[in-house]
Amino acid sequence: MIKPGKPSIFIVMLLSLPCGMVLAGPVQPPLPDGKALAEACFSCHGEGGRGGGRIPALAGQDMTGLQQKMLALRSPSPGSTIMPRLMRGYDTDEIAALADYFAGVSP
Amino acid sequence: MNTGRRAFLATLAGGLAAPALLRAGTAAHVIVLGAGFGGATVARLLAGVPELRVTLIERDATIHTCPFSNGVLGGLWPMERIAFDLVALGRAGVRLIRAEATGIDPETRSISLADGTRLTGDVMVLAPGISFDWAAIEGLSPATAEQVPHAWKAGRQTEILREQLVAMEDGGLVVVGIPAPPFRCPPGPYERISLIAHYLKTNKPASKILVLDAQDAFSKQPLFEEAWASLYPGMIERVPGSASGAVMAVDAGTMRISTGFDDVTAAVANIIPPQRAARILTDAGLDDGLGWCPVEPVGFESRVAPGIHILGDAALQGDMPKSAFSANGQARACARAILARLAGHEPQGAKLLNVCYSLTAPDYGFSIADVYEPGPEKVSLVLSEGRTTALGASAETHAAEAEYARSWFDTITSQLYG
Repeated sequence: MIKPGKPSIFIVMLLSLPCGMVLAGPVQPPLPDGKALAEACFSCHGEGGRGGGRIPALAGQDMTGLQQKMLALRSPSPGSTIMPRLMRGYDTDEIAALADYFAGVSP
Repeated sequence: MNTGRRAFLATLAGGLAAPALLRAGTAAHVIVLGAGFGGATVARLLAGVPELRVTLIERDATIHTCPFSNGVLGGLWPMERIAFDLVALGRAGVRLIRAEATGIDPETRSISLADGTRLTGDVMVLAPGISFDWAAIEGLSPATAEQVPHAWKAGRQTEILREQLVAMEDGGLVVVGIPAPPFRCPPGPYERISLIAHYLKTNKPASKILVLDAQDAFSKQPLFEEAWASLYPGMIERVPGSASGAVMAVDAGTMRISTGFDDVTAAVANIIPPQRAARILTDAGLDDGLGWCPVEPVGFESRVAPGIHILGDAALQGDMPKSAFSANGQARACARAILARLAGHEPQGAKLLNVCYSLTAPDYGFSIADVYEPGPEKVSLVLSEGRTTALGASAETHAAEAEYARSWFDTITSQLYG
């Protein structure tokens, strides 16, 4: 039983885990390697996702916002070009790992 | 150190488990052959690691990129746009050796240079690109390529073809010969046809392009044909492989180009020969007799010789096309694998991307965009449907894709050479 006002050992452990790992249950594997996945994006989005020419920067953005954007990009919308074709190739764990990585890069 | 450089180093440091390398005491020697999109990427990434010594062997002082070389032919931009020196790689800590490599001994991981020098590495990364199969087309040779350029390795060949197009009189016939696959840059010949057509329409509108193609179907075919019908009606005629389109013989003296069915006389002929992995690799047996070099799908290490990684156009890795985008992604995966191995870890695969933009006019672009996954045997395409820009896309979409193409080119070349 978690008492209000006092962090549980569970929360302390969660906070101390390295980037890219989420403790969702004892049998769940960690998230995929966000940095390794993200490197595929750098030749357009810039090194570390810091932006490249006309392609938007991703570095340092809010993780949840990035994650929602990437999930939404799996479906084409007016004005979209290549991103729906790419994002549908990633599962939700991979998208979470990508968002977690880019959110942690200093812009 | 500029911001881009710092960012590049930070990218790598995130993935590096340094302690085991530090324990090793002496810096491991990484030899990289070729400063194109594969070799320059891996050299620049690994040069930021203090525990490694990186030597890059490159024949040319100036790299001319194949991406965007069709824009030079079409008069969209000058040669300078695709020319890059290697000064920044040297500044980044890469030891540059400007020399022709003449032989590789996979057993000892050593490489011989034209002056007799021999270099030995702990790890080798080979990214020398392609060689032409000159014998496949009668009358074609490195010598006749001065009159009948391939322009499939950018640089002087690009200039020759451009000069011939500029010198041609209005009403001339341009013949483009396309080989059977696999070849470097699957949509490249068709982008080239488009941008030559753009130049002719603007400057020599009575001229025609005859495409003699060993292939029946080709990359992004419906999109190219849609663009040709709308931008260049009546200018381009294509003979596919099933109608004996393959070029069989060339007479550089008379400019007579022969297929199995017909002969034509060209004002300008751009004949692209069939291709295989660079000869230095096949001579060393790294292709295992296949013409292309088999590699594993995580770190692109040779199936023939451990400790030797082969990247880009020369590699037989599975489904990824022979493109600059692919070579760059493979090089990043290779750098991660080398660092993991040196740190005593098993390399882990991650999904890869390929995006190939094609321009059919300055503001008319489209693309193929794919996700790939390292499987147990090969790199596999994740989704086989809906890979390209839709047919009937708006002018705004085509203009945006052209803009993104230019942005990608400027970003990737600044990461490697800037």
